[in-house]
Amino acid sequence: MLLEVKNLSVEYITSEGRGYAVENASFKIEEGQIVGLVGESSSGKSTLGWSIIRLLPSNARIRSGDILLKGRDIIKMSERTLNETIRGKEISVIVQDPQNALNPVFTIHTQINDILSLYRKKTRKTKLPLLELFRSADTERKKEAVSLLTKVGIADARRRIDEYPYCFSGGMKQRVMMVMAFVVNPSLLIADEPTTGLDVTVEAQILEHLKDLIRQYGTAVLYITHDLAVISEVADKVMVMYAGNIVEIANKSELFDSPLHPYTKALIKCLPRNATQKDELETIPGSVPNIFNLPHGCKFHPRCELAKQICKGKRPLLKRNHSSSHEVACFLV
Amino acid sequence: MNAKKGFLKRFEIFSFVLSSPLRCSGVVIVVILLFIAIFAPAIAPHDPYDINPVNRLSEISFTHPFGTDNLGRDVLSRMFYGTRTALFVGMMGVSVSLLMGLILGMIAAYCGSIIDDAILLLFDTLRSFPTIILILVIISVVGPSITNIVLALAITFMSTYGRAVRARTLSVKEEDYIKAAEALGARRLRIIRSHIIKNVVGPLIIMAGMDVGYMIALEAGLSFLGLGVPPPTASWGKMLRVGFDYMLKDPLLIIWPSIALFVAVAGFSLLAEALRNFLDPSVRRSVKGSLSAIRSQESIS
Amino acid sequence: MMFFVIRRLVWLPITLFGVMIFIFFLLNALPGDPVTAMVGPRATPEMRKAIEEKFHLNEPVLIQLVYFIKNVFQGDIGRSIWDGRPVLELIGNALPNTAMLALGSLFLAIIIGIPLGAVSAIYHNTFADFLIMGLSFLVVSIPDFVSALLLLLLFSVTLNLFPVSGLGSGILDQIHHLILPILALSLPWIGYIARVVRGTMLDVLSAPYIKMEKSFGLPLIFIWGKYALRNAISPAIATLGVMMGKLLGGAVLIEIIFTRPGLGRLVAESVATRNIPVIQGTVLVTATLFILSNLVADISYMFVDPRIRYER
Repeated sequence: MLLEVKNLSVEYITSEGRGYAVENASFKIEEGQIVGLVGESSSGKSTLGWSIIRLLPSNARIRSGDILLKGRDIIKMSERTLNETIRGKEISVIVQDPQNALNPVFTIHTQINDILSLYRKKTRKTKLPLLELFRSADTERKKEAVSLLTKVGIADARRRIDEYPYCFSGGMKQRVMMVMAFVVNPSLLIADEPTTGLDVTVEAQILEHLKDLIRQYGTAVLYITHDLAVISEVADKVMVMYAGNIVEIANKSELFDSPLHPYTKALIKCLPRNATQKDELETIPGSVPNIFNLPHGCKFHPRCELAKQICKGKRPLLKRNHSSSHEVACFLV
Repeated sequence: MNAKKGFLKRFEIFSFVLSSPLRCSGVVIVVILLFIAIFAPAIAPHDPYDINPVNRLSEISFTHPFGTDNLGRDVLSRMFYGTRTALFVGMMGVSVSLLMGLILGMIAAYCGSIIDDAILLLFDTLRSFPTIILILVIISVVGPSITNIVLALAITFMSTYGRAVRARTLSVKEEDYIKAAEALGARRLRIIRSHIIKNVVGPLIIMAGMDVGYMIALEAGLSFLGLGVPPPTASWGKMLRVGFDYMLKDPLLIIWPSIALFVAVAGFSLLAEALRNFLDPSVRRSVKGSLSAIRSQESIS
Repeated sequence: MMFFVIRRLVWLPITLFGVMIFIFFLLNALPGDPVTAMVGPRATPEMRKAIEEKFHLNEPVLIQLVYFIKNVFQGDIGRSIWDGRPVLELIGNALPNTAMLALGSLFLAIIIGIPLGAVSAIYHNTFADFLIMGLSFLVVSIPDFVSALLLLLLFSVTLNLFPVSGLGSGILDQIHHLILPILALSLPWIGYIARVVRGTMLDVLSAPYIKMEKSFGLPLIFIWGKYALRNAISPAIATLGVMMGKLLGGAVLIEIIFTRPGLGRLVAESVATRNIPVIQGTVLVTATLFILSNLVADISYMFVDPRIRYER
């Protein structure tokens, strides 16, 4: 098992109060498995993703839980070990907005090269003088970067690699980011809404390249998105998140064929392709609760058609239902 | 400049100022300085011009809390009267400069083509000199007197205001509500008065506030060189000169005007910063100190 | 990019031209009779005539202006009234001294100001930040000649650690003489630069690409020193350009206080003695250096931030 997360809770402390963005999250990711994490905005899904490598904003704290990558405890690890062995080596991240994800004053080449040389040095376990990093690239690494860039569909990569980010379009920048993420051969890729905000046609291309790279490197993926349609294309297993809790975990086919949690069911109904002959699209009444002002008991109960008295009292925990691979957090199932 | 305060409720101003000790101190310092400047004759213990050779360079005492200078004059009284010079030069200098910049900038923006180019060339030429050099040259031509100093300072600084006014006016001029007013037949001058000035002057007031400290420092520098206000007028710069000349005999003479200059420059900087924070609600960070006092440094050297 | 540079280079002589005209007319307004100034009150009419011929003082002002400009282009900016030495020579002697001060201050501003600003931003809202910003405010609020006097008082007079005036002889001694003036000159700029850098670094450090670089496990020092700093440095470079221009132009008061024969002191003295050719020459040179410094600064941050190259 590659990644095991147990009872993870992350709290935000702001001037408006304290609130849990992630509460008691538990799940597993196997080697090479693609797990989708679905939820609306402010469901805590991004927070969950970034907390795996402990890159949270300064007003966020991991309050409890364990994160184990190949048996190593990430939470207890020192920041230095985390930086030297996990980030950019075992785990990579790609993010939503490619426009600002690349440093504007350095060429693509410099940025890829720095990551690659750091990785190479670390895996060779040689002592790393800081000055080494400031030196310019060597041709072998450059060739590798160029070939990867070509593979993801950047034409004329050998010339373009020496250009600056502003010369690239959004879709191209996203591809560059993917190259940066995969060039270090990570065991786990955290993809935080990588295609949100791209044109639909570009999105499709990016997804294809992404799937190719995943296959080539055999990387496990935590794919975070709000778009169920994308999930259905990419993921093996799906987790549904609501207001900080994981409310359902199932294999992709099981989730779409027989969803158990009312929220999941509602989400699937909302998909445009599932719309019936009527012209209206389905919506879920109400809105996602503010983390500083959460309802008692089940967080979804104010919007749930099936809500009963018990739902208002206690928080339901994830438990197995029917098969061992399908978990749901609801009293009524 | 009081028109600005007209439409603001006093209550808002008070609560804003008191909310931060930094802003508070800026206002407090400037108020105290103004008080000293205005009431100097009343509160000074001695006549600052009273030369008393017998009592030269005396120590701190009850009669002379800060001692006396090389001509036996009471230092404390000269400090108070020096406040008058500093504040007058600083505030008048900035006001005149602002006015000149405003007028020239608007003319440039409204008249366009050759006049605009000429005014811009004038501004650029003025901007090509390190400040103190320009002032030295102007003063050497017109001679040192308090009016001339104010004028020289005004000319030196007006290019910054002028360019800002010109830029703002150019953009505001094209705004729709101005065109609407013109279409309704309002005369240009009236448009300028009611609409444009309001929009243009705001950020300038803040720049101007910062420059007061800068001008005070420049005046002190000029007086130090002997090219400032003519004797017997008291000026902190002149006191510094005396202190410098008599450094070995009476070191304390340097300290008092130094503190005065620092307090004045810092006070106006904090005030300007508070003003800026007040007029721009998105900038409510508790930034210690300001971009303001900085200007006072640019090229005192 | 080239287009921008060329445009600036073309504007340079035009501005200089304006400067020359301005100075010329300004100085012509000086009271006093230049001829008497040059030859003294006991000159014979023949001597006066000779001087007038030589310096074209009889002719209309515009003609004089033309001669002036012609001379400038030939490298002759006139001679000092008092000792007849060419102005260019006087400036040539004075400039290196001023340059030493200016370069020393530049050096300090870069190696102290920039890191302090960066540290302040990185340790934002901690004690270090408040300390650095507080000190910055302090030094920026004290006019530089005042801090020169205070430093003199403390270190030279009281503690006797540094010499009071002059240039010194021999490399080590010269450096010894340079320390206090450079310190006084650079302190306010150090504070200013620290503030500027802090501001831009704060913006840069909260940018998404920094977070990405952290996610790739790049060492923090590396991110701060290379990736973040390069983005934050442009306004600081602009400021350094202005600083150099102003310092080269005349650290007048500092030079006088420390009795160093530099460009600024030359200007002040020539103004006091109505030495018109020297005033003209020095102010011209000063203004040129000022404009050039700004130009150099503008060009350098074009190298640092590639986006600028294409924005013009």
